[in-house]
Amino acid sequence: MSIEAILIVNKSGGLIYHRDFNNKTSATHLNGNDYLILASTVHSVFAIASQVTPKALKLSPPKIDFTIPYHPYVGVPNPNSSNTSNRRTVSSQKLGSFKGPDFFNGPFTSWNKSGIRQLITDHFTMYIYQSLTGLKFVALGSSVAVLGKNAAVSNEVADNFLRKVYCVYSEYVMKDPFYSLEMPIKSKTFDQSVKSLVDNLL
Amino acid sequence: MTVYSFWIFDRHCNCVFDREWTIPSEARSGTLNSRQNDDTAKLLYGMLFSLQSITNKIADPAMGANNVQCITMGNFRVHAFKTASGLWFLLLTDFKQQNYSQVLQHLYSEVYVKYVVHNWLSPVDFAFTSDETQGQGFRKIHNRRFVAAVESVLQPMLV
Amino acid sequence: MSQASVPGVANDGTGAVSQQRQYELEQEAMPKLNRTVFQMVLNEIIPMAYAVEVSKTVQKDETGEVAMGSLSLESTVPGDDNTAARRMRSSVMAVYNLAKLAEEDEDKYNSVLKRIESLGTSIGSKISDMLIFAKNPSISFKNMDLLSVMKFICRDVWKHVFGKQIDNLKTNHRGTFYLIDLDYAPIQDFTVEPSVLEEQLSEEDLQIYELKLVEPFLQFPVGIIKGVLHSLGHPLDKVVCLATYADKPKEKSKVGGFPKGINFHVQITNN
Repeated sequence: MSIEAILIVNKSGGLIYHRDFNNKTSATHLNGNDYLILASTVHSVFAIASQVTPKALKLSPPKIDFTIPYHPYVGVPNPNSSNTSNRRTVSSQKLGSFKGPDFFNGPFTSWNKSGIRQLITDHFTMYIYQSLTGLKFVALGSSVAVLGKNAAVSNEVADNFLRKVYCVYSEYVMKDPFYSLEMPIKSKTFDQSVKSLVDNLL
Repeated sequence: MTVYSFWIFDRHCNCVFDREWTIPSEARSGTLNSRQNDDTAKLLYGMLFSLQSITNKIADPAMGANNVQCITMGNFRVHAFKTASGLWFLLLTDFKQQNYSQVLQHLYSEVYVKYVVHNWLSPVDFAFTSDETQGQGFRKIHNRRFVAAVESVLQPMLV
Repeated sequence: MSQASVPGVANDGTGAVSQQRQYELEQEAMPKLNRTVFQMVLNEIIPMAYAVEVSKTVQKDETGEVAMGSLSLESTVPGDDNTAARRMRSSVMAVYNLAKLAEEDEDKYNSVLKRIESLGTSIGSKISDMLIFAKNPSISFKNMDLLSVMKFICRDVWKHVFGKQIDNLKTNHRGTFYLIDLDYAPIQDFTVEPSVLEEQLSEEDLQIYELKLVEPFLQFPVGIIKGVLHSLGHPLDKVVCLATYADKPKEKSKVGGFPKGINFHVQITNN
């Protein structure tokens, strides 16, 4: 799964972070305005989603398990792999103030109970992860999650990945005393760690 | 694999057919064509339309048409199929089955084309006045053989 | 994501179809396409005949009014101002307006039916020449006897025009024949659409209304039968042909088709 772009949308629907990760030609490149529109559309559709619930669900809410299984080493180099150069970089890489090679080691519950989680189209897939504080992390993947067993797994992997982005966000953005809430993020260290997360995903 | 509802929207943004099953395993429950200018129909179409316009913007024009196929929500999933003539076929289901595109295609080619397009007693374009072509339409597909065929295709999937 | 290898489709991800495969697909699809288009053109005869009647009336009318009660191409919906959309709809509304015309003006209704029938007749008279040598080069109607002519209609003509043969042929050997087609092809998918009607009808009324709407469509095969008989020596005024609905026997009826079969009653008066 290769990530094309990551966006972060704040509680009021404004775009606070956006980053492209491929070197596409400018023909398909969307300008800044387009991304703003995209962010606000995603936000409003997200809000509508809870109202579109079918009646059957409103009458008898099913017991859906919102825990997401843990996929190890998503976005982080795997120290157990046989790649020796990997081993050297792992020990020197510090994931902020988190201890251990990977951020987490267990399944977690999804906070996204009534909004959009995944959008599959003919040519790409979009994943949305919502934090408890209402922040939405959007990832655009270029491969199509083949509608089969693949879709659920890719959704879980994306959730694991976006949760790590959330961790990096809380590390480098929330701890920045000069950062004002809900404003666009301009932090070099944040950019770097997001880039390394994406690079390690491939 | 529970199917919650089935919708057809035409190119004038009108809901031309809707069938909801309110009690999941009861085949005779639910409503048929009851959403006139209801909020739910308009919201559902609006959501689909906005997501489709985002998709069109992001897509690489060289790769051809890029249509929304599947939207996963917290509680349910929306499967969409867009025909070349601008019709949208939507199916709201639970999470058990991943791929409903075959079902939607079958509904289009074997049910809709047979009982609406080849039927000389039924219009293909249900919007008659200029108001109706701009989203105020209210005519639905009521002809009994179409409805019966939809039921027979979707009933095995209700449980 | 491995792509299943489909013969003829390039496996390099673009899915380009080889020329050979394209040719094969075309060969498979062409007959179905031809038959579908042919059936649609056949069915369009009825709205066209109605439209001709309307324009004839319009020409005669000197005050310049276009709509004359139900004899109009316009849909009865007010606030309609999009001409192109209106024209698209008029073919459907023509069928409903034609049924209304049956009650209001019998002469005009009959002239529309005659027009449909005459189109069938002109095709029927040419068909016998086309088909006589199609299957059996040495075919000859022994003394032009009626029974073999009717059998010719039932088998060859019906197969050629509608894709299937007549299901049942009854005769009294004295000039009266009943041709029964249980699944007359062009009308199989027809069902009345209640949302187009101005008033709500009950379930049985809808079924009766549906049969009334489909009646004009039956004039076309009536014309074909008369045309074939005419070309084989039985002039039009000596042949009477009527189409009525026939009930389908339970064992033979195809599930999901049009609820009634068609019974063609042909009566030939000898000189």
